[in-house]
Amino acid sequence: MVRDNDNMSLLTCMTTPSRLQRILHGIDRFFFRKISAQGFGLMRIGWALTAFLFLLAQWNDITMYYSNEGIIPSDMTGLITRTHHRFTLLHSITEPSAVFTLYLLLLFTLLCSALGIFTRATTILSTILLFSFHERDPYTLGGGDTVLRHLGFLLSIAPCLSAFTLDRAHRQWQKWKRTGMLLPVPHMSIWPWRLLLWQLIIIYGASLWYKSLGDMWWSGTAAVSALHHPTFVRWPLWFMDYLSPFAVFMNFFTLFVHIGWVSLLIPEWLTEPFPRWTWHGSRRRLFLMLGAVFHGSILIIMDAGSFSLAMMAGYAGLLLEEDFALVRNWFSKHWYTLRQAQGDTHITVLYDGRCGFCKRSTFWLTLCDHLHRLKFVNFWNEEERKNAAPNICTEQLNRAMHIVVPSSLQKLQTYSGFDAFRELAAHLPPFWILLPFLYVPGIAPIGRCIYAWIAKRRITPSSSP
Amino acid sequence: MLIMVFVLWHILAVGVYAIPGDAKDKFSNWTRKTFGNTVRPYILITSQWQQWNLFSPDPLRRVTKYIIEIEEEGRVHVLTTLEPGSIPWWRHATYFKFLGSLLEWHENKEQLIVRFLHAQCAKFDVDAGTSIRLVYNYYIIPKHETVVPVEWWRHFQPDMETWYGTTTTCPSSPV
Repeated sequence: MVRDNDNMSLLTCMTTPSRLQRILHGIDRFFFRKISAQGFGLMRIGWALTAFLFLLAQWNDITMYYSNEGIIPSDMTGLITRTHHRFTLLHSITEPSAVFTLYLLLLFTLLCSALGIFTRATTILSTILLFSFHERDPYTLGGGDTVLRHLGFLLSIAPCLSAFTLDRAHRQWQKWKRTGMLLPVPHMSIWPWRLLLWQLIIIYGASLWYKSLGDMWWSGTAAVSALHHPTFVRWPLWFMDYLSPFAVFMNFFTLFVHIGWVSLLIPEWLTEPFPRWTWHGSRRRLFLMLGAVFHGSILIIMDAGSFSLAMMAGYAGLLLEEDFALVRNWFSKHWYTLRQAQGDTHITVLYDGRCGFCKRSTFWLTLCDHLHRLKFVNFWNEEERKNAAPNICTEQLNRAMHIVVPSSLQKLQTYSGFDAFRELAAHLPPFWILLPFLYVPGIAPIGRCIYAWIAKRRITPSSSP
Repeated sequence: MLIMVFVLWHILAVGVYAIPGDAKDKFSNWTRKTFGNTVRPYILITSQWQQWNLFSPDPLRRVTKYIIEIEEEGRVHVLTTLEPGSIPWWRHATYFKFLGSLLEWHENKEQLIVRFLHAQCAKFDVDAGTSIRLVYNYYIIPKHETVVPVEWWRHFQPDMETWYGTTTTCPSSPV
């Protein structure tokens, strides 16, 4: 006869994982837990644009650096680098015109990778071409080029590259047309992210190790020496003298950032018993921000090639879903707090539901609406139109896009045409880079003319009531 | 399973290869000896080679100006000077990295320095047979054991030194 506590024991055995199962589950989660692929999407864009810009700057020097009519012909590369375990297309492609053609192909594939056109193929091809140029002439390479090679390798093997791509935007459009909704955020296994984190820790760890082999960094005299080397600084030496009082701080801040990144090797569960001595938030996020300050400062003060931008591209790859949510909440907190009393905190975009161009425009606005602030109303729907904009007639709405913005003063402000576009740009993160230009004096009248010209072409017999 | 093995392999390979070449402690020597030959082919073929010695162990303190001189009718004059500020900013970092590596004199690289000088002959349309040479004009930023006042940097006047490098003659046909 089976007793109740026997049943309980049997049930407990069946439902409680054994220690081995827990270990296996932990290992599986360590390598294959799903994370947002958006971080790697941003990294791909940053990587491709950085490589593109710095290679573009070499336009006049390509044949000098990489062809047989340059300073180092291919039969002399043995004088400057290894000959074994070395792959480069430029070993056999040596004629200046052929080398330049390959260079143009590299620029083209980098641009396609940045935009997300045939993303996987263009990313892999641009990585192979980048490797080929780097291996052909290592004398042109700095730390940033090494980082770009590592990021290119990780992007080439990452299981999902579809975030922020035009490839995906096409699939998004198909879904949006059918259902009015977007595809879910793409996800991927965490293992490429772990490789990226390890690579960044190695960069800072190895660099810290190297610095420990000298004595200037630990005596606080390294930064001021670097600030007075004319080859490495962007500004005249007399200007660098004004930064010299801060050099000791910069010196030890550099070491602090290095140590901080190495400390990411310490798992959270080891630091939990010491709450007084540990950072209470995410250490990864803390050192991402400090690293951004560090590399941003280097970008402004020093001429270190592509290093700063390449590192910041790598940082983007480490962003997780919770980071995007945190940034979204930070931007939205103020917005929602000041507007909650009005009930609806969304910006209403009134569009022509009968116009194909307008529907495509609302799709692109939806894609760019990362802060989730927009609400779309088809003004041909009389009830919705009256709720959203009772004071604007259909004829006015038909002439230009209108938006209704709840202001912090509990009023509703209405914008139309170019002014509506300019107001929307402030709420759509991909447009923030355009924002300063939209407010340059003189731009508004030009913008209104262009908008009116486009709107006039939009009105067709099918879109009129 | 294959992915897990690859990830662990890559982590090991990158970690081992990145150990500073100047580190001579027991751990570094043992790691390089044990794993170095195994990871090296993978790291080199995948172009993942790396040594993170930017401004390390100590920042570079030698500031070099490269002067190219030619001798015409028994008189020596400067053809061009390659120094910070003489190259457009968008080419600056890569060009000086290239120059710094190329022109740091080493007997193995004599042929490359000669090619570089011949390229200058073509660029400036110097007559064939003209003698051309590379001159290194440099100073060393002093190394201090402790932090010195800002005023010291404001009044710092470098001690310039000159070293005469490779000499060759301009060829009749371009490089």
